[in-house]
Amino acid sequence: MLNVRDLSKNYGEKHVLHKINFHIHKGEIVGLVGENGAGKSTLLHILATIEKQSSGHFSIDEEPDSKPANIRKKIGFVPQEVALWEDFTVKENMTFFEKLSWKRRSIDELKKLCEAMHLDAWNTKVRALSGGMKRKLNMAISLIHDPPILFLDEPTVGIDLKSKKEIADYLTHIATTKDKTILYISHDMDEITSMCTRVISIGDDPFYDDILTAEGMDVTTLSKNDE
Amino acid sequence: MMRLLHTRWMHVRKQYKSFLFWLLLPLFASAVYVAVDTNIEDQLRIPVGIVMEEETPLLQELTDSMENLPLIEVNYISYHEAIHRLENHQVDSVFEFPAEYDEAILHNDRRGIVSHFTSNMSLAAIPVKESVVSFIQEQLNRSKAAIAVEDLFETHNLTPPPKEDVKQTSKEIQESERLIETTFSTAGKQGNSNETSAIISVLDVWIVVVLFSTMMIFEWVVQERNHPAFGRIPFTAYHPKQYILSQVCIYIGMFLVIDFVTFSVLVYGMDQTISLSMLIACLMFRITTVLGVFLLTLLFKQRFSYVLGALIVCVVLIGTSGMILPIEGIIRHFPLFASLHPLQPMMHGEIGLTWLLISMGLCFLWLFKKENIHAKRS
Ligand SMILES: Nc1ncnc2c1ncn2[C@@H]1O[C@H](COP(=O)(O)OP(=O)(O)OP(=O)(O)O)[C@@H](O)[C@H]1O
Ligand SMILES: [Mg+2]
Repeated sequence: MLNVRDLSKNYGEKHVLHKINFHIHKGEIVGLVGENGAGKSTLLHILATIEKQSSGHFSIDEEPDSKPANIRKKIGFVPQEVALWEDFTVKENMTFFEKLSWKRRSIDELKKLCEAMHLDAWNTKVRALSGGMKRKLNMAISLIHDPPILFLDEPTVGIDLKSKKEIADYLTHIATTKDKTILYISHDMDEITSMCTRVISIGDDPFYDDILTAEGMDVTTLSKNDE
Repeated sequence: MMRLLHTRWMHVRKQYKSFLFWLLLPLFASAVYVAVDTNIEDQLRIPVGIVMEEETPLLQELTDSMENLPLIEVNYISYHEAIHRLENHQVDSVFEFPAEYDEAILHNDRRGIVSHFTSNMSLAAIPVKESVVSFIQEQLNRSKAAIAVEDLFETHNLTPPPKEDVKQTSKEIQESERLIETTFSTAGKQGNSNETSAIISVLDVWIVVVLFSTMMIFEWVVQERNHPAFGRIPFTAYHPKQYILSQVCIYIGMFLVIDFVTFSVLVYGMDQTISLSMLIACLMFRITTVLGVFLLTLLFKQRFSYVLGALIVCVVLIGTSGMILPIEGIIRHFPLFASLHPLQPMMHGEIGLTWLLISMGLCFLWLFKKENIHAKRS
């Protein structure tokens, strides 16, 4: 499904990603861990074609080097920050992005999508939503065009355990029933161990690797210093 | 297209009050300007009192001439009333005509045909008096001519033509030979404002308000383009630049409709004259303004700095346009200035293609310039 070969990224002199290689299969939920500044968000942005790699390749659906616009069509990208129109209600945010989407969805379908994540504040303005609700809506919008692959950048930061569980359950549900492929950044090890089938760790610090291996997870380490 | 209209509508609906205010401001500002301009002309009329013992034909003729002066308001009152009003400064000055006025004119007798009363607050007494005296002088000249013609016929033992005929002919000759309009002005306000100079100043008002209101409305570009939610546009069927430009086109459509309404109101509701070429120039000017303002918004990330920048650009453009400060000197030394200034062609009711083409070119450059779609990062 997702194939990454010798991917590097540097900002000037600074090497953030260095020749990394990995592969993700259809229907897998893969956790992406690493210390702050390890380059997790950078990797996700490159895969989502928002930023350009310095060198190397990646392909989605065995279609190498296709146009960014074609790649994005297959991607549901959930940004690290909450990206919503604050003056709009949940319904208005959903319809706004549906209008611009590749895929036509009825109001009913949009509402069901929110409800599947236990987001029941259809007519509430974003301003008035709790942090957890905002996070859920942030995710729901990215799923409007029903993409086969999902990139999530810390989607559960700062929300309560119940909402975290609801989001994890929803993701596990769509991965198993709809064969969605998910790449998931998180600093929450409980979340990673309970939800993910596999973990990719970036950075030089073996801290996360040790914890996760001890939990019995399958960990792939991508070190910057690996040649 | 309907989808893009829908998304714009969703945004506009959230701030429809300020949107409507700025959208309709050019219409209201120019309509109010025309209305007030006409009204001020009425209010600036100088009240003058006329006291007549008897309404005789020649006096009638004289007062008709006075009423026709654009800046005089004639009040027919009694002597006592006139003195009272003069003391209370309700009239600027008073003219009193005796019952023997016609008699005196016909006999070319200048003594005591008019008394002029003023107060210490009379502002326009002298120019008004000069006008009145010049009218009386005309009447005197006419009757003098009639007497002279009569004498001429009598010395040659012929039957003279009726005096009235002579006066009428002399009046006609006077009308046709009149080269200089007898008007006067007070405090810089030109007495005789003709149609063209009036519409130019409405145009100035419209230009300034269009420029400013477009800048205020286009704050949306700064606000939306730099909003985290805008980072989602790459994951829709539209390229962010394509999306933004389509929204700009929607605004252009709305503006053109409102401008059309504005000119209809001015032409059909307020008797202004706007030629077809002027109308086209105005619509072109609006498009140029929108594109120019749009390019300006691309330079800013923050609302506050944008508003500040827009204000500065606005002040500089208007200040150098010659609307307020004279720029004839600059134009004499650099004739190019007149054609290079973005507001100059429009101020003269001409189509300014230079800036339309420049701004269109820059928009195309921006549209096709390759750059990373940079998602916002916290
Ligand atoms: N536009 C940029 N210019 C220069 N350096 C950048 C830029 N964006 C990111 N970096 C650097 O790249 C490194 C990786 O950043 P990135 O955001 O990918 O880390 P991360 O793993 O997501 O961290 P966190 O867990 O804090 O989210 C950081 O050191 C950051 O300072
Ligand atoms: Mg990050």
